[in-house]
Amino acid sequence: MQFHVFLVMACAVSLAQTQSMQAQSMQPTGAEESSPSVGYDQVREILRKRCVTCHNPDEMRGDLDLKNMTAIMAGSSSGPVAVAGKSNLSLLYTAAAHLADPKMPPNSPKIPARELDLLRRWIDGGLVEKSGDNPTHTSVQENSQGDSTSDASTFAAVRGVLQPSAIAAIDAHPLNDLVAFAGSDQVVLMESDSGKMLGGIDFPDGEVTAIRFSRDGKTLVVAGGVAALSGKVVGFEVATGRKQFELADETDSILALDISPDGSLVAVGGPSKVVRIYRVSDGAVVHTLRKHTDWVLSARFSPDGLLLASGDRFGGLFVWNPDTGEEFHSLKGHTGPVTSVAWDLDGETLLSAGEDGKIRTWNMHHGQQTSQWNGEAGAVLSMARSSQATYCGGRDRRLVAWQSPEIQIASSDFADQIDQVVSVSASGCVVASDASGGLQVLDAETLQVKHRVSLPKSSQLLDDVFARLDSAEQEYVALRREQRTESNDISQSDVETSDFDTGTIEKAFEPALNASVLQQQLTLATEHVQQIADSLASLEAAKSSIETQIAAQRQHLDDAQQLVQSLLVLSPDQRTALLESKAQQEQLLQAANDMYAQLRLASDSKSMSPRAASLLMELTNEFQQSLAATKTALGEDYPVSRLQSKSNVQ
Amino acid sequence: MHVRYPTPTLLLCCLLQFVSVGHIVAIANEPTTRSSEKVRAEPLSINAYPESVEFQYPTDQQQILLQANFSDGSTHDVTSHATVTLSDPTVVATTESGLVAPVGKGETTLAFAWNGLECKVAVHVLGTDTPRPLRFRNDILPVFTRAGCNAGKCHGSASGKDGFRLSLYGFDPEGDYFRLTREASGRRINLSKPDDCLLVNKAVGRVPHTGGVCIQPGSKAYRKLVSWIALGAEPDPAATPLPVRIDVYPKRSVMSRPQQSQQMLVLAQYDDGTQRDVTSLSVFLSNNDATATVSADGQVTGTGPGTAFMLARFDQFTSGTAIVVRSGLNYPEPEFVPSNYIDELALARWRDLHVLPSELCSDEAFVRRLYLDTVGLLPTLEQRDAFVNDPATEKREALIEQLTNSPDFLEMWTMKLAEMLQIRRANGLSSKGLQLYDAWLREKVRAGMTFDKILLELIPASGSTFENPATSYYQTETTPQLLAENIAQAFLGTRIQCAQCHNHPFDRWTMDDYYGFAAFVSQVGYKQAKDPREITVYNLGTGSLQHPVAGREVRPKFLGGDVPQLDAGSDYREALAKWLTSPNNTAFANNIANVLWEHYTGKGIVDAVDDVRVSNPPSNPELLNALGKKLVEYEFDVRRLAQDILNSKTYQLETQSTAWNEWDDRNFSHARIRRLRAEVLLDCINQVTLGKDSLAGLPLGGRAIQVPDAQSNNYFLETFGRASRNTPCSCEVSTSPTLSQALHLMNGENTSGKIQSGGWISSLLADGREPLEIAESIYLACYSRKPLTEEREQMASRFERSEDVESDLSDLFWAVLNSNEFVFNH
Repeated sequence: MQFHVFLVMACAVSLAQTQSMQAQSMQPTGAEESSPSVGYDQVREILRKRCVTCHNPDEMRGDLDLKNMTAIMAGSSSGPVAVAGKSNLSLLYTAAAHLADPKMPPNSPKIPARELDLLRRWIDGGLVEKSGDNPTHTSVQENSQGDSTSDASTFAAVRGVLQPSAIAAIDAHPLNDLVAFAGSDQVVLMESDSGKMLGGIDFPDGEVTAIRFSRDGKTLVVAGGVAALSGKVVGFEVATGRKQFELADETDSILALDISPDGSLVAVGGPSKVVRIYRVSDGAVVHTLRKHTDWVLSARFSPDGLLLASGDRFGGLFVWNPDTGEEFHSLKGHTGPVTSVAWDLDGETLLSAGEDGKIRTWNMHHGQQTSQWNGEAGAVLSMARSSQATYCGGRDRRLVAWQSPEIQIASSDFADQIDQVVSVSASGCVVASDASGGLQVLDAETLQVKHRVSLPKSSQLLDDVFARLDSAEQEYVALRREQRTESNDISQSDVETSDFDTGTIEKAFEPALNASVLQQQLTLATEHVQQIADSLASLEAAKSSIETQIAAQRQHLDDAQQLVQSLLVLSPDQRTALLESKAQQEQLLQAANDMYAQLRLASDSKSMSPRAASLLMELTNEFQQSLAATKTALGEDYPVSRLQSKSNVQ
Repeated sequence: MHVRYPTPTLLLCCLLQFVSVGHIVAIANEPTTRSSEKVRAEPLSINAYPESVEFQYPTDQQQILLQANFSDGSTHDVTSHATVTLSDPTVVATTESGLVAPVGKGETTLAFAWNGLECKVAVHVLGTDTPRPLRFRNDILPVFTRAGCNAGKCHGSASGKDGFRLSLYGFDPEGDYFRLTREASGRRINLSKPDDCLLVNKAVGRVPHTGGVCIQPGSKAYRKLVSWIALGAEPDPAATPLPVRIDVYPKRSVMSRPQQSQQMLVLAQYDDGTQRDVTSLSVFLSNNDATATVSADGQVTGTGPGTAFMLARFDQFTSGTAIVVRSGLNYPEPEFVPSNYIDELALARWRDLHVLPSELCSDEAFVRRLYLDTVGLLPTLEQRDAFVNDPATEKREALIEQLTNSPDFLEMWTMKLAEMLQIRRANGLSSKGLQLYDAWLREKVRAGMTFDKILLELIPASGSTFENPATSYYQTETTPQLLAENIAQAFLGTRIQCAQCHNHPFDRWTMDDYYGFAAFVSQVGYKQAKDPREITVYNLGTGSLQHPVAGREVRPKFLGGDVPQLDAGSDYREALAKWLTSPNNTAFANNIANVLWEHYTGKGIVDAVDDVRVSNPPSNPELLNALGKKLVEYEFDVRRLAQDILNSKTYQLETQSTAWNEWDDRNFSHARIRRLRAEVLLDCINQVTLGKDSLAGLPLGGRAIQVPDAQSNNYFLETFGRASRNTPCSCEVSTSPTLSQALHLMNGENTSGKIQSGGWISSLLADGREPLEIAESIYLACYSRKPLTEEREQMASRFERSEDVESDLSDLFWAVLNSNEFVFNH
């Protein structure tokens, strides 16, 4: 019985997004007169989905950030993009509506009409922040601290899943036997010694992608969101499961997460290739660290909180000063993604592991690598430290415990690649998960399996998926049928009747059919003749004007030739004359070029009859020939070389 | 397809309908007919594709295509017009559009009837009740390929897109499976949220996606993808049947006129002997949208007269349908009488396409064309007069015999070979080495050695480059990959470069083929010889190539052939040379024949000649095969094949097109106007002006076609597009016009300078010739024709009031050399 409740919830969550979009689009249309003000809360998702991938504080294409209200109001370097009350003067709308260049999104069709409409009404309605009087929209409002959801987030029951799937994040409490791992839109809490799941903390804003306990064990920091769309961080009180704080507003999943030892800062990283440091007290961005060239996969504050290390998918590994945001060390060595970083207790040695299969240690005084060894787990996907050992797991489906470099204590084979490893000091256990969703609790010394844990399975969820598939299919088929009756019918029937007809058209209808076809053809032909006459007239005019030009050019060419003939011996005066003639020709050439450009313009803009087009083509050819002749005459060596050859003969 | 029995009345009705529609179209659209004989097409037979169907799974369906063949050679898709009779409705069911689905076990026959014609399809429904399992390679990858996800400009590019990479068109299914499910574990697919995970959300556009909406929610592709994830996104079990080839139907379609359409059908054959209709999983492409386009579902529609090839791609296989679109009905019987097998095969093609050839060219045009093509020079005044005034009826045959037996014919052929062998100064090849290499080739050709024999010496060549200059071939390139690419491109006309990094997307070559072929030249060793300008090439006897994806050692495999048994340490190149030049290797013979054909007609039957590819089929396969076969029969004596080509009427047609062939660009229904290639043009200018050039490596006045080093400095040859021989690509020889060419002819030393220095005009004047007579000589020397009356009158009036006759004649000569009539072969 219990699961049925969750089922409904799961469905509701997965559909929430689309429903809220529909609600936004439909409601205001009906209520346009009574509540004309569309709020930012309603357009936020549109901008998020359509624009923010390129216009965000990290990328700022066209020097524009559309991530939040403040940034939109700041506009771009070419001025404001949204003018209250004037959508036709707001680039935000005109670019999206393809009324002005640059047309957005680039090289793509316009965004759907209902979204455009909402955008327009938000601008025309005065760019208000919240739609206010419509309570159905509060769920999509910009999340602020202490809203209604925080009270709701107390411990919940563990939710069932369709089938075990990769666990994206695990972390262990620093003092007690408590392990938190990512479940189905919730964080599941487990006692490792017994392998018992104690309960869950719901995370209603998407999938959980990173989990971190604070060093004092009081706060559980959870990052999650919708991949490629959103990412945020929520802090929960471990004792009560209550929400303490909420921060970050990323545009993709958060893959790397840590909270500083004093609990004042949170560092996040992900596909945006930057590490952002947030202040917990007010949610402000303290620093944005931009040295990584690929997805940021791992981040850890040093035990004293003085340093922050982060690794990326390209093998980049940086150490920062989190207070100033300055780079402290750039550690070069890894040749594959750096998936894990960890610190020694004294904060003087950093350990890193990655998909090059290596574990490396780095000295923080001089920033040099001090040792490296093969983790023997294949590409290392996760590494954990306890006071006794370093554990690493990876693509070779092995979990290996190392006492120190090169000294292996134990190893354990898994059924699939190991994604996550964490050491639980309070229970002397190691918890690891593999890509097919299996979670194992192992003895920290021997790596003997103590428990195998997995989330409860619910077969009803599978039926729900197929029910959704069926309804999507019905909608799709209906849509296709609609489109076909609208547009394709005519062409389809054309094809069919021009093929071998099996007699669907009755013989009796033929004369009538022919008559109407003939009538249509006659009308078309009349129009066509008129069109030809029109374009011919305009072409005649153009032709005579060009002919004049050509005649003038020919005249000048002849003049030049004569000049050449007469100038067998060049005097200074004659040289000047030659140059003058050349200058004249250049002017003429310019005029002719302009004329030609106009003609091209005319031919491009008009849809011409074939005959008119061929006439124009002839004219163009003739013109180009004359142009070529002029060019040749203007060539530097033409008169000179001709002269030389003449003089040689002489 | 109507599931009913047709009545005689209806049948009569459709016949009448067909005739009347055809008649109206004929009047409206077609060029005027010369022959009054009108051909009326009658349906002869209908064919069903596939000929038999075997259903393995109850969820499978099979489209049946019905193609009607008409007496005029045209075909029509009559699938939706025929009636079908089910002998046992408990086994299968059919729809009006020809879709057949199993309903029970057993065997039955479908009888199709249209217009009184009948054909049958045997259907066998095997006894399984389980639906076809979804497999990654067989069901999911095709979804990505069809949606364009793994195309070269999207996630199929070498570095992927936005952090996510797929193999190009799915050539690496295991790698793609890994990247989807394991590379970023939990990110791309989420087994517990099959319809709300990143992969699906991106594809349907629910989250920002640079590629836009690629898959529609609710479509078959969407259902497949989501179901596969919901069922666990399992890797394919080892026993999963793998496709071994695809068959595309119909093989050929001849449309009576544009706007007709034809559905395509793709059947995949699997290694467990089963077959499957994969039309909805295939990608379709047209190689010529001006003739026919193809929809995403494989519906071909004619757009204009011509030929086109519709390509279907499924898994790693590419195959297609040849489409002919005729300009219309009412085609008069050609009055063309073939003079040899070439003409017969060309005529068959013209009939197919409803094309009429142009008239035969005049003697004047012929003599100029023949001289330029065979010896690379213009006919002299005497040679021209002797031919034109010869009253013999078989004088063309005689002249062909004479010219193809001249030494200059071999010089022209040597130049072609030197391009294929890339003889040039490069990779440290010394001047001496180059001279020796060039002399070696020239000597072999002059001694009558055929190309196959030359390659038998060249490919396995060992020794020092001075003692055995053939080894210089291994200095043109020095890596097995590049050598193999060049051998394939120059001697087999096949570009395998793509397959170095991924399976060829538009051809049959895989990475296995590429590295297998390169393995033949993987044991070539180099060492320094005595002379610093000399190196020694030898067989290492060891060494191998690694397959970059699979990581295993690759054994030598003939391109498109077998893996030969080779003794370790033996020279693999011996085996390669034997296989390559074997009379059984049609690719080699056809390639040489095609190169020759292209030389004489200006367009290859496969065009470009070094781009033989499934998706670039020959315009006349029968002709190409016949030429290749003849070449083998003649033991690779190109002289004899050249005589066949030159003696064909097809070669001797006018360049002037007619209303019945003006659209034709690839079927040789009229001769092509071709710009003279750089070397020939320079030789011709020197010939008529009596000018002399000092060309690198040749005595003063040597012929440009004999220049050994393609990299030697010569402004004229470079400007007019001489092959640099840096690659064996046929595109190296360029005959496209540029501004600098025009300017050079107008102002460069090669025209006005040589007119003066050659002194032909002045010597003629000194002989006391009349200006008009000299003008006629200029015309005859350059155009091989006399001036037209109009031209003659203009010149006469000019000469009457001329103050400086020599200058005027020089100007005339200059103008003639600058004219298109001179620069082009026509």
